[in-house]
Amino acid sequence: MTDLIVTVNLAAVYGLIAVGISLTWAGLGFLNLASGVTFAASLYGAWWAQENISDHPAVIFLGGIVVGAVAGAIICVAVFLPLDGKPNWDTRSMVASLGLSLIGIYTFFLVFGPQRKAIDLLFGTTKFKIGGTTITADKSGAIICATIVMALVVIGLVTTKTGLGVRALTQNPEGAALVGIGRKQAAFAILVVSGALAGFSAVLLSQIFYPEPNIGYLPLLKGLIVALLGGLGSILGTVIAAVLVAATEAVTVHYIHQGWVLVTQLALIAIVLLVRPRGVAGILEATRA
Amino acid sequence: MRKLLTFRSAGDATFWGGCLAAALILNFIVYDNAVFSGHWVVFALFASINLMWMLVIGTAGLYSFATIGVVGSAAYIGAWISGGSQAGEDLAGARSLNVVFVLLATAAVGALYGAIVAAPTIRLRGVYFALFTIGLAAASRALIEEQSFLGQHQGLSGAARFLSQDLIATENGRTIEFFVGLALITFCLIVYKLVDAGRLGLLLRTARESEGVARGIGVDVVRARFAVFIISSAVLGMIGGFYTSFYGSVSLTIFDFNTLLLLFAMIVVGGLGSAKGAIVGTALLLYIDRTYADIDQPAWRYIWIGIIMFAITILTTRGLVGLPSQIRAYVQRRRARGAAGEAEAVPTPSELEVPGL
Repeated sequence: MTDLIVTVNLAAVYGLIAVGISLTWAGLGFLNLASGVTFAASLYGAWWAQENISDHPAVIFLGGIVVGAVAGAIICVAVFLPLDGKPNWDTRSMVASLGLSLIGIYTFFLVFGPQRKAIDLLFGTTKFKIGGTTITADKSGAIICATIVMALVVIGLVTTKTGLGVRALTQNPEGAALVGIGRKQAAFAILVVSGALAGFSAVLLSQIFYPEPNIGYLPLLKGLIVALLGGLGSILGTVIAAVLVAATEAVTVHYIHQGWVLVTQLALIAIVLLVRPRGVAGILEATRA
Repeated sequence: MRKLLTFRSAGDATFWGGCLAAALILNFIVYDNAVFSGHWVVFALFASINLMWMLVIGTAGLYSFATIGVVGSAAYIGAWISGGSQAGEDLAGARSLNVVFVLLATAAVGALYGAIVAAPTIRLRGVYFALFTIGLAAASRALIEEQSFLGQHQGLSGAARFLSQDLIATENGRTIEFFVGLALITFCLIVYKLVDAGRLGLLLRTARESEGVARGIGVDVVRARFAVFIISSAVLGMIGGFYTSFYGSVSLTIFDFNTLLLLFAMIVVGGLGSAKGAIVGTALLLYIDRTYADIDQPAWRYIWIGIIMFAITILTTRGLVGLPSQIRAYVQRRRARGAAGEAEAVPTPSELEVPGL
């Protein structure tokens, strides 16, 4: 039961980070390696809001989300707009985002120092039991919030005009351009929403990943693993992959050792990609066919 | 042999000749400087790694980030088989092996690592391969960290070195290290040129430009990519062996993600797809890295590296070595536009004709 709770908790948060990475790749052909620094920036944003505005959870969440969204907008303006359509776009955009990430991480070092900051418990200290397993308010709150936000993202993609544009871009960029969908506007929307999602996940994970300059590396890696396993561009694939990756992590920690988590997760990816090179999305396509 | 001594242009010959002359002159001037010697060893290791990485990324177009995983794993095995032990233990002599044997063994470890990685994944599309290998480098570190015989957090020390104890930190010792480093770079350049200018390089470049066309004309794309991955991994493994033989120790910092980023920045800033790019990028960014390493705020070195990486990527299409041709093309375009503008501005004889006359 404890493993199940840990799995759902991690799946919910990894899924949010991975959806942003996945949409950015599928819609724009842009592997955004600055997602990690967006995560770190959001944590600092949440911490700053707590220290300077109010320690109310809503303010802390808002601080993280707003800073994440602003970081997404900066990535769009600094990397996407100058390079879109230029030769070697895919490589150059990836490298430029990496450069931006380095600048960001070490600016945090200069501004905030290497010490960790602390963010208060956002959902209180309440605990309750299901089937003999104690569940903290922090975990249940993270699961519920992440599920609601993921549902909102899906609803936004399905019902709004911008969402329609984004979906069109992920499925057929040339077709989307022919029917007049603005690539730049869609890119701005994708990057800002991805940033906001990374910010939201950062605040949800703030009791595990504390605000410190290098903190974005592991969430970026987990987000990339989930996005890759899910089949870049597929929301359903990403959600299923998030559950698989989180379950692998929970089981590895419980039965083997924390140090083997990445090894078992990569073994899982290798097995899935060997069967279906497009990941879980490929399996879903094969099932539909 | 003729292929090795043939340069694509007079500029190429001047560049490589100039590099060799600069290195020799620099060593002659500061041969007794321990700081230069230390930087030279790092340059030799980084430039060699980048040359092999360039074969995989530039020539084959395979976005592999397993580089640091191969070098680090081979360095650990090299340190272990040559008598390295966890700090504090005294196992000297228990597994002590000749340095040449260590280099051969680490090359074999690198090739094996490459084969294990490439066999299931070489068919993956670009970004999938890139993401998989990023994770692989992290997993290699995690796996080694768990092995008690590899020293866990403390690493291994006391491994066999190029220099005997009495030569360490002496003039003669530094001269030996200089020439060993130069030999390593030269060896990697030879491997680079043999692969890049050879039949395998041609097949890989064809597949990089268009996999469909390559398959259409009968190129076994998977086999060619597998071959280059194994070759580069074997040499990267050997570079891991050089690492332990230079320092006599290895720790988990060899897998540092920042080192991977720094190496990647070097080949990108220099220019993807050229050996010159690997050398120029390594020299420039290593200079910045070392300049800022010792000041009060070492964070500035990564900020500067990030700024250069970002600016070069935004402003140039093929890095620093591609900049002269990019500027020439820009000037030619401007001239062509200027000429076209003048042609429009000057009326043609037919326009000067008065209708009706």
